[in-house]
Amino acid sequence: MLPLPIYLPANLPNHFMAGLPKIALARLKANPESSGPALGPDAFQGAGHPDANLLAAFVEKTLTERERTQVLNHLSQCAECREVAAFTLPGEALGAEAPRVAARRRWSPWLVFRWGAMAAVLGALAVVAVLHPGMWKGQQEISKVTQPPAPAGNITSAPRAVTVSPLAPPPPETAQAKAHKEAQAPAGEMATIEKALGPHQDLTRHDRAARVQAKQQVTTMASSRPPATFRTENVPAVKAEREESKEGNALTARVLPAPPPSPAPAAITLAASDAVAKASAESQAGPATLRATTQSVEVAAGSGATAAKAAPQVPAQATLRMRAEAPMGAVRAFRAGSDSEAGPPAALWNVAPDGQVQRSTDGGKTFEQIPVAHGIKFRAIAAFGNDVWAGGAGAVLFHSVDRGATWTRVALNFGGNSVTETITGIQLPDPRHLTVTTASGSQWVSEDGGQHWQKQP
Amino acid sequence: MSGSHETATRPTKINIPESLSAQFHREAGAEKFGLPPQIFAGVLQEVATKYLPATASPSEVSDFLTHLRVEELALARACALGCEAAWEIFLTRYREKLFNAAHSLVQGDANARELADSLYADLYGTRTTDGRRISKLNSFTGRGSLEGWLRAVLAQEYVNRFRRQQRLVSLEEQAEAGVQFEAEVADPAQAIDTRLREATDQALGSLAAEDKFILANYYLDGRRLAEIARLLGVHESTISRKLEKITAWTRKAILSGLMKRGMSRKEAEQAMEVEVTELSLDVRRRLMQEKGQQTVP
Repeated sequence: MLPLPIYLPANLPNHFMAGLPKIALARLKANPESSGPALGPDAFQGAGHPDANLLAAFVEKTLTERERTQVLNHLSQCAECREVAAFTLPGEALGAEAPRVAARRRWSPWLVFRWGAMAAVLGALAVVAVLHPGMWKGQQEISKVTQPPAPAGNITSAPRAVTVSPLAPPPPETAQAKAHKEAQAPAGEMATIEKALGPHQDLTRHDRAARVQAKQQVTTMASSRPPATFRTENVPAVKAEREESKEGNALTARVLPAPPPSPAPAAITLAASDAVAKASAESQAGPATLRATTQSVEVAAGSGATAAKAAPQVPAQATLRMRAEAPMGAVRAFRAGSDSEAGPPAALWNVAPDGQVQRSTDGGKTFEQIPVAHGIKFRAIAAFGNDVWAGGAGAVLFHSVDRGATWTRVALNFGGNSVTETITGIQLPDPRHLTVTTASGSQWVSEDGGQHWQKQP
Repeated sequence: MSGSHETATRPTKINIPESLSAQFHREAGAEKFGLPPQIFAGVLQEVATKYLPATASPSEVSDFLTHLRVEELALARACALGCEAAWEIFLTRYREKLFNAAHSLVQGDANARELADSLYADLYGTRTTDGRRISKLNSFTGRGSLEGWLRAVLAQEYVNRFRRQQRLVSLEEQAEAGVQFEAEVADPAQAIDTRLREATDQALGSLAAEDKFILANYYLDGRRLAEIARLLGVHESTISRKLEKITAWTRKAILSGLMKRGMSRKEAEQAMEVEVTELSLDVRRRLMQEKGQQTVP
């Protein structure tokens, strides 16, 4: 006997039945209702079931709204057709199921109170830290000694220069002051620094300049620890500027207006010369991958005068990867642009249930409809920085390089044949590599930003 | 169930301008399948007549045809007409996919092959009428993809097989399973307060089609949120939120309906928790029920 996968309530966990009154379940099954106005004389066949065309079109989301409502009405009453519709979905999609999410998840009041209290305490601490920046001073002094060794790759043993990361150097006067202070560092601190440098650094007693430079770097790292500051591109950003106060080490943070969109992909530029902040950001950025290119601060040894020189503005890459691998037609939202704990969220892209492309620039609170092409139902969207790709029914694929301001249709051709299936997924690991998944599960790959396509075996 | 049979009862056919049908004939590449323009125009007319009201405007007709899978429609109809070139393309494109679809339905290569082969026979057409083969491909209308249609047809065939096999279970097996002597289960809804039934029906009747679909899939069929989300083309979390909302609304509506029918709040809440037995048996019976001798098309 062929096993038909029938799902019976009796086999389900207890919480499964808790939501709806049992009488409602019983009436839901035994309550055939009219299916509304007829689609057309023959749209539903004699038995009253939608034919395979309509079921396939329903699953592929190509029915009109009126037809869809009719089919939904029927499916809500017909277990057989629901089974058929479920079978009609591509097989691999059903295999990748997420664990069931309890429909009625309730937060315990005690739990809410606990988390709320913790959030309030953290908020109060943050306010205190901002209003009284001088309180960090003591911690900075401790950090000078206890700071773990810097990555060996960031320190060169060249006698005249020390390369520190990340990008932007501190203001020259700040570096000067620190160099002066470090020249008077006690012997114990120097020993700590030497220990921190480790055996990989070939420093001799005669190489006094390099040692001072190394110390300069460690001190810079330690003193710039709080707060980790970022200047994000593409999005409204928070930039914390380090300013030397009258006392010397006070840190002031202020919110700056959003800079204009950058053509570079989602990136976070570290505004401070702060390797510790970089490491902290790496640990906090979650899915974001932070890759900071190095920038150098050259310190003139011996003289006590310090000159800071910024390397070319190669942006530190806090590359945020957006993956668009959602099931068929699913509503998807992707962050485009930078994102970090320190800044507000970047643009979110979404495909609405009616197939329209939407964008949010306020972290998903509100979405605005982005006109792409009239009469096309989109099913998938992916974004990387300013690059946005949207695909939908009939293998339509649109590309925007300016965050949705203008769109270009891209033909999905392969070997002279054009793809006609609905695009249900787009992966965009970077602006040049693109993978498009169709309703049948086929995957098409482009490695040149959509110019040429290859079917994945 | 050929398309010509389906449209036979329709008195008014949709007129499609010749230029439009010629344009779609070109776009579909119907020539390479050996499908003449006149026949393809007839196919387009048949499909439009099937789905559009007789009063459809020319722009509605044009819009409808634009959204058809004309290339796959031409391929399917050319296969139905017996065009060898079309069959070669069809088999190249869909043989493996059809087998894979069958494999996802049944366990074992042999069963899957058997299921797929039975469909091939129907697609090719084993019956003849007036000397012409009746191919199941004639019923493809291009509303969805040909692959999706094949999966749907395969699933229908599978359900029909299951039901046929259920009917052929031996009496010995039934006796061993105790099914032969199973007591008739009364309709659970008959044993409950009519006010509860009415209030429930009213609440359920107020739900949108999609909401009822979600409830049925989740509570009756036990599908996962991810599956329902895929069926509706939304995210899983959307279904989770909707489900919670619908459930809460339904409870509230039933409660309100009961109170309007003279129950106190406490009575109404107690009535809603009434134990309705044998739900699982009802589900199975409904799934296997027959509507006369007609099977799922």
